[in-house]
Amino acid sequence: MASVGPRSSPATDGNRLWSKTWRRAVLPGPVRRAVAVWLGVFIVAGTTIGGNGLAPSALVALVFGHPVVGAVLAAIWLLLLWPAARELRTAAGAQYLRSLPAPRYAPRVWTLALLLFMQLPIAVLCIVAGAYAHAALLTVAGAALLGITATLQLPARTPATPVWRSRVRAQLAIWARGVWRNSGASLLRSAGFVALAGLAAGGFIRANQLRGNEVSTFGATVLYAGLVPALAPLLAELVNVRMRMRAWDAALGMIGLQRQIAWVVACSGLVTSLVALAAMIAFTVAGVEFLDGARLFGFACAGGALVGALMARGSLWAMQRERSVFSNLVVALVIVTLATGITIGLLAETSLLPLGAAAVWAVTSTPRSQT
Amino acid sequence: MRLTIDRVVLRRGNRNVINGASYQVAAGEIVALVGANGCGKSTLLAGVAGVLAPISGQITVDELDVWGKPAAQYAARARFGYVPENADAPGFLTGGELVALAAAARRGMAPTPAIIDALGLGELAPVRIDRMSLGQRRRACLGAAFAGPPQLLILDEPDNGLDVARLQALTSLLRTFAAGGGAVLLASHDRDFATQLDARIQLLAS
Repeated sequence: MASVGPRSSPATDGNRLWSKTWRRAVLPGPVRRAVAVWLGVFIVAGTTIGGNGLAPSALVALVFGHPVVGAVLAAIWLLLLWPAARELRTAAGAQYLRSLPAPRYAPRVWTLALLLFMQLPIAVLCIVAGAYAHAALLTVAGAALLGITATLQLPARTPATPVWRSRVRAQLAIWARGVWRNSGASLLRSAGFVALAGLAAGGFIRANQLRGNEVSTFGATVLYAGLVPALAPLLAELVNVRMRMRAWDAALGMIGLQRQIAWVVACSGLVTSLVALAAMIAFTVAGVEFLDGARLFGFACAGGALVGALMARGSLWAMQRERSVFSNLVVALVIVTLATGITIGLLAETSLLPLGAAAVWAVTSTPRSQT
Repeated sequence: MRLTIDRVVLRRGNRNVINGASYQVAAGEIVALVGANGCGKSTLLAGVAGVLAPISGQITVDELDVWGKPAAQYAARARFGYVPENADAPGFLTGGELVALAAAARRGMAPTPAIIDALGLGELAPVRIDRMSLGQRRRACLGAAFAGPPQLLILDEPDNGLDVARLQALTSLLRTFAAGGGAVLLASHDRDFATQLDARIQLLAS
């Protein structure tokens, strides 16, 4: 007679099943968010680290040698990963599971493991730089800080009933609410990436000791590359909100506003670019002369407006196809930012003309209404 | 105010759901579209409300084409309020924001205190639509439809999901609206509801 192996108890089976279900309900969302952050960080790092001049060891030394720089980068890192860590606590799929008898330690162990895993890019950077102790320290400290901040209770706010005096204001306010409420985490992440883009551009200038025209040319190009991960999720959410509002806009007669809204989106691209520029100049304050700063300002305005204007066109294009084509939008954004950087590199000040003209064209060629 | 639906053809997927429908609704009139499930009541109302474009035919409000040039479209659509079948307003909005949006779109005012009270909009104002029940969503959408105020109400099963007290309040509101010169085009499965409204019943065949 064949021997029968030891059978697990119903309680153990129940715990195992609960843990498996919890992992399936909770982990995919935060992992997806963390991977998106990693991709964005790799894009920014790819333009500043390695062959382009900034050695990993120099970056690690900068972080630990200059407390302000270290604190700013740590704050940006927390801002980037906070939404992912937060989702570990608030995942909707886990709400029901809490009502069931649950294993005590498994969720905590998985949460801790994921918080540590999120720090992988920093750990890799330190290991490549040969700073093994720093790798361990930053990984543990980053996971602990993320874990603590993710448990903070945000104050609940009762939204007041608004009064909008015009259709355009109402439309813009609704879109802003849609993007913030559906994807507030993306907005936080975008803010982090905008700051990171500026710092990366500043770091690039410092590491390569750029002077004269090179400051504005290379600085602006690195800055635009950093704006891709910042703007891509916003663009996708913008399309999403527009799609969800479409039937209501039609029934409410919210038509003929498209071009005005394209102008506003173009201006938001410009503002985003200027914020990144401010971060960059703050980081390279000693190295940028007035004339180079003025050129940079011009590039940031023209390039930012172009990226914003094309975001408006891109969202319209995606909407006409009746689906949110996120990957295509990201590819389009990468092409636009690369083309912007190359145009600046080739034409220097003369590039302001085609970039500005392209931005104006993108907005003015937007049809007034879409029915 | 006069709504004219003239030989309208509406398609969902590859099927013509409405084939050459023609109706008229005049000021002060309540018209109830009645018909079996899937006969196209909601499709017709979506076409009238500017949500689903007709293949052919014309829909006008006071001679203004709902599907015409942008200026005419806006002028036509500013005259009506619409409640869709599932009351599926964007979930990220609060009840108050939905009503404010409708008022801004029609360059008009929020609903009167009597309407706010009858529909219980005060308690829904700070609540997100994706956290509302079907009846609450319906009330928020009715509030948005009454903002402006409109001259025509297009209501797709407005009684669905409402409790008895709110249903009575809605009946009273619609009768008052029609008595004041407004027009109502609604779809309902409930003939009793249409009878209480003294509505002209139009049978929509499959």
